[in-house]
Amino acid sequence: MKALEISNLCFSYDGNKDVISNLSLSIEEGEYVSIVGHNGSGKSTLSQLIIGLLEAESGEIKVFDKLLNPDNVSEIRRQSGIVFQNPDNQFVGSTVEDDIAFGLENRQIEYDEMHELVNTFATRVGMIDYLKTEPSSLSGGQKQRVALAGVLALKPKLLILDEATSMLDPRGKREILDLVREVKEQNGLTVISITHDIEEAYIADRVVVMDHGQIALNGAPDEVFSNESVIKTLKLDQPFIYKLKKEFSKYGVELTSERSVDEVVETLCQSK
Amino acid sequence: MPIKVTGLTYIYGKKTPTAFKALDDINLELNDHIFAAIVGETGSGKSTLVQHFNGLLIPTEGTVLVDDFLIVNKKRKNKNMRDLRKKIGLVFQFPEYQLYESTVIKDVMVGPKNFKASDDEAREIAQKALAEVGIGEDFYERSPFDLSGGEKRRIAIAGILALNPDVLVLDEPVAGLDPEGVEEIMGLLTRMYEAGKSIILISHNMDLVLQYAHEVYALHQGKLIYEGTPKELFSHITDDMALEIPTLYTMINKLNEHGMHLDPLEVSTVEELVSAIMKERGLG
Repeated sequence: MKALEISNLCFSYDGNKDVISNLSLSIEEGEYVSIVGHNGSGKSTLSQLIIGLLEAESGEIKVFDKLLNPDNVSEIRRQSGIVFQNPDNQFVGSTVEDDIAFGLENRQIEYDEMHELVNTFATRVGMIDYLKTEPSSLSGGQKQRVALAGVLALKPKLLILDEATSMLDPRGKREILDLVREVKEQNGLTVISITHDIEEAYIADRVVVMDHGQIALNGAPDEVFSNESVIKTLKLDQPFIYKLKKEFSKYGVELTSERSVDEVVETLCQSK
Repeated sequence: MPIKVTGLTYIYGKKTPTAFKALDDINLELNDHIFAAIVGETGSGKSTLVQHFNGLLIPTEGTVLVDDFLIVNKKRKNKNMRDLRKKIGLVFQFPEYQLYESTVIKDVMVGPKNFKASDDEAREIAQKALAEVGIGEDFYERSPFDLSGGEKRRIAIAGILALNPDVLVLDEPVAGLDPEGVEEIMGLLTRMYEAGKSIILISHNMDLVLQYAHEVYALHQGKLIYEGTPKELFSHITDDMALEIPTLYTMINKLNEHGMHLDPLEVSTVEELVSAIMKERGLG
């Protein structure tokens, strides 16, 4: 089944300049898709259109085969979760515990089950020691962990991360992305991750590059990042491994199939 | 402007059940005209530390001496905080959320006006600050909310520059920016440094720290665990520091485990790394 099918979508904030311009995109259930592009390319606008926070001017969005319209929007939101860059904008509870429980309460989950879910997900994001803490006294990265726990506890089928790990330290970031990947493997979760982190995009199933509200590139990470001219024109960075391979080729050493630092190290040490 | 921190301990919510020691006996001395980075995992005390530099937080124990301003926990109120805040400019995480005026120029004029500048004076100062961050006249009358992420952040930084601080402290200045925006901001900070200001940067991005900072301070659970140059730090990093190693150094370590002899202190770019590997192979 397709998790998302977008056809000919158009949107503008002021009625003049298209922020999303005749965009079509389809994502399979269980896929992990990274969306990259410079600030202002329309990435966040697209995510808000998908969950119905903004209304398209034309075109259609189908989430798990349901057309997004005023009748279906609540059902679609029940199946999808979004974590924003600055979680301050989505805190409602007076403690971490209340905040993670908020969505569950809205869905009238039984008290015991709710308690268990809150504890499970607080543990999985590494915030179990902070249940009674006020969200406002947490650091940026801790807030992002709590926001993710609140969304994952609702067991969405579609998860949208909008720069959701940007305030975490590198190690925290890896832990959180590993958790998302684990949930994806266990529950067949579909993940759309909007990110500036090229290394994160590189390990996604697919990379979509946006520019001026349209899709500039769409394909497997290697397919996308090897398109040097487009990546350069759009002023995007290339993954470390690409920079490395390019430098080696100046010396006549061609590395081709290697996708990680470990694999490059292995090749170098074998051929020594 | 030198900053001397002596025996600094800070406890959030002292004498409450949720009391939390964020800083634990920190001693450090920052010289005049530096480009420094403060690193450490989330919650290690980085933001708490820098908020002491301009007296937003007052030490629970110990002292902070900024030039000749002494910040100390006494009944008597610390005087001249206003002057101190003019000298140390603090740029918080996501400074663009603090933009609120209807036009770019008005937003940058707020600071000088708070410090009693006339409208004309404030405008002149704001124009100069905007020029420093590379924002031209065509932006003056635009709404700050219609601009890109990198532009907004430059305007927020201009708002601090308008107070003409000697020291610029920035908390995660490039989080959430695209590569072009990152380059814009880091280029700006380098220019500010070259113009004589001190730059103190909090960042999780070790590749940036390696590339730009001359000295680095690492915090872990409220304690200062390392000070030195970025290259020294990254070649001596241990697991208990809870720091990520830049990709370059991960690779050097792995190659050395496989019998190569690369010197991490000799390498700080991909070009240098590959050249060092080729040299090693040539000998081998």
